[in-house]
Amino acid sequence: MRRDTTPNRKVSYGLPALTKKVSMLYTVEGSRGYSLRTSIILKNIALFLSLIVCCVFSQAVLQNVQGARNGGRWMLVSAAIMLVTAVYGTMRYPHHRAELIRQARHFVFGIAVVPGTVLAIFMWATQDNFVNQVDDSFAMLLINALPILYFVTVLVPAAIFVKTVAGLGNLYRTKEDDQESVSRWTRQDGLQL
Amino acid sequence: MESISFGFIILLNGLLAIIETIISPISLAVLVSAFAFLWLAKCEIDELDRLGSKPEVRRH
Repeated sequence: MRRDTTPNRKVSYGLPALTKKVSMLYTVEGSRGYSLRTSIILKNIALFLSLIVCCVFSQAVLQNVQGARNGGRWMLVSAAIMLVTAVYGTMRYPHHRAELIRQARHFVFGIAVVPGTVLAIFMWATQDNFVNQVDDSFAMLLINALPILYFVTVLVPAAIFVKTVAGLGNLYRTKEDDQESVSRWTRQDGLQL
Repeated sequence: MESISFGFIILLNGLLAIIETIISPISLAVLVSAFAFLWLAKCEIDELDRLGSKPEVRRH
């Protein structure tokens, strides 16, 4: 006779499942479990609002800057591309979720949005200094280079992040066989001192 | 009957206006970003749940 291998619990969905999960959470972790999860949700809401504020601010200060008039919109689109890629990555590579989320935040805020906003402020603050400076070669260089630098700062990280996530499956592959790997891990490879 | 059809047309126009607003690339980017942040929050909470619970094994 075949043994029953089903788990000793009823599977429930929807609100009953949520209620059960929340009550279990309180039993195991106490009120700290609630606060931890609430803080994660609030942190992500704050990050979303920061993204919107940075994009709106960049769009506002770049309105009159030659060559970068829609900088805030580009920033928003770039961040959206990176975030969608992160969502795809968490589905495609569930073992790397935590690292992917950290990397996505680093790319969106650390490389693209915050430096882009700072650059936008710099361009806005210095734009008047470059007017009628056609005889100043350095000023002309900055007039032409700053919008390019802005777009490189804001748009290139999106391409790099997409390439990173797309190639994530290849990062941990090795062509060594088992014996070679074990030899290397155990430092019995003849290269030890 | 006319008032009903006019009301229906007004509702339809409102719906179309909402769809047109949402379908613009910028609104779409905002919506997508909001969804992505929610998803990442869910992933983080799942990781917390996983760390805070013992693995369930089937009865044997």
